[in-house]
Amino acid sequence: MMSSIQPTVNLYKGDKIKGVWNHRQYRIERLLGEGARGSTYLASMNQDFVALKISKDPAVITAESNVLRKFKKAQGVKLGPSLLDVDDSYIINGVKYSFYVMEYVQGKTLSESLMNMGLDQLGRAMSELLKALNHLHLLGFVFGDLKPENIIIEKQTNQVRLVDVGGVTKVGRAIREYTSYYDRGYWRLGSRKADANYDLFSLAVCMIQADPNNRLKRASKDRDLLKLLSQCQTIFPYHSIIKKALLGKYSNALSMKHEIDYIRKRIVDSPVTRQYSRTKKVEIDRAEVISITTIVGLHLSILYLIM
Amino acid sequence: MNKGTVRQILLITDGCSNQGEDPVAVCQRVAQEGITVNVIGVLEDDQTEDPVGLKEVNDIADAGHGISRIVYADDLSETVQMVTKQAMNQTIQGYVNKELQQIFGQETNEESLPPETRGEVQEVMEELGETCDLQVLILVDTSASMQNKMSAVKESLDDLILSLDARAGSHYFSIYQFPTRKKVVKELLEWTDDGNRLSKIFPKFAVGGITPTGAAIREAAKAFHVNMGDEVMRGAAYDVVDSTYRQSL
Repeated sequence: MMSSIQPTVNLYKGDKIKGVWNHRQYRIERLLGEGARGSTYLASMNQDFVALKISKDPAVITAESNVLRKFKKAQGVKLGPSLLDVDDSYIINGVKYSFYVMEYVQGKTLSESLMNMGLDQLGRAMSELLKALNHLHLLGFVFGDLKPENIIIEKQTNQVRLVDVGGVTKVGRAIREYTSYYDRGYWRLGSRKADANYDLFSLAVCMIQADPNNRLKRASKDRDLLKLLSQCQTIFPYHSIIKKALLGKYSNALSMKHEIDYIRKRIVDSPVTRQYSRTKKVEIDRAEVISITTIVGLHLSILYLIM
Repeated sequence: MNKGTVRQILLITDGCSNQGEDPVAVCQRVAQEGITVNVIGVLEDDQTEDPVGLKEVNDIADAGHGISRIVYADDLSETVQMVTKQAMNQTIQGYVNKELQQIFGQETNEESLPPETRGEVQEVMEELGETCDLQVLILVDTSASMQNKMSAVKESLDDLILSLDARAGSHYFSIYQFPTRKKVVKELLEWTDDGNRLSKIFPKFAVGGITPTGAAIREAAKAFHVNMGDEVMRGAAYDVVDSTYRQSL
């Protein structure tokens, strides 16, 4: 019976996993992560480190490896970890479980580094993510379960990588897997049908998470994300972009990327963006007022002379 | 392949008292009619262990070829949509395995195929899961102790409709409450696909008394045959995905 299964397969350092179809053998090193649909372990094969995902529910393994296989065909941009092997293995007491093996993406997840990011760094990471998401959307897919835990900044290349493809959904279909806080349905700001804006919404929530003052949990009580945003002053320069993404106003990932790049450029140009832009604006206003008054005054005096 | 209809009863309760008919026996019969019974047990906020009454939750779902979960009211939304989806996939998986056995022989199921082929079967199943019609009858325990959990129940049903609306296939849901003063079950909402009608339901709560779970499930199951609109009846005529096909997994 599948009714009350936990998908977790407990493995320990030194355990050997041998595939029954492809006969490759892996040695378990340590647990990398555990989710509702299975566990991912760091494993070694010969001298190489790989990530091995195993679940008691074979459908999870089949579905996710299907997605990774499709991503493999996408040229140029790396959309997920590359898929290395899909197989079944007998574990301990003769029970057979399915697993797949993928490239081990080494680095920090965004959830570990988000709060310590400067505005420019945040913008850079988001810009890179949007580029990858755009490729994904052009292939006809939506990432779905986009959250800081599923985003890794790769140690060697410093590139942003998407991991855990459990939520990847064909455009137009029901999102396969999501996490409440990053789900626009949860915040009552849209449907759970997969479209590009679904990912942009989740990305906007990730950006809110970068503000140390965010109270996402408390905001979930009255489900008012826009009110929460107005309280996140640390990320002020990105407010209008985040708001647009939350309300689904972008036509695609690239247009959001361009706007982030523009703000980033302004941040880099001036380290104290906010004060700078404000004082500057006031000066412009004053100049305008003076010039308008002068012109009006001149006209009036000419008028007076003619009369 | 024809589109099929998946039929489910979702029982939401905070304890199943065993008055009257044995719910397990009822669920076995209901499952044979092609209706899956899923059960969600709702815990009190301060309950740390599964109380005795809720142990029955697993037995009922097992007998009904369904899925069971025991959760706090806070986690209800997440659970309701997940249980519905997983049970539907399970029904489809059972149906597909049956088909595979007809093609490849008795011992075949999805897992005995090589991984590559399995991937193709999985795509067919996902397609079915996305496009099949779904009928969910939600049976809500409205005994006195459930009163302070009703807002969570309502919220979770809103959330369920949101998830169902995202599917390509059509869906109908109906809401029943039990127990009531005069009858075992009472229809709160007839079969509909209109989520807006959810907000207009105000169940009255029973005070004290018994919770006749078995009889309630039996009565509710009749709704699949008696109260269905014409459209749904036509759906039933070419029903292919049906849990009677389901193998015990």
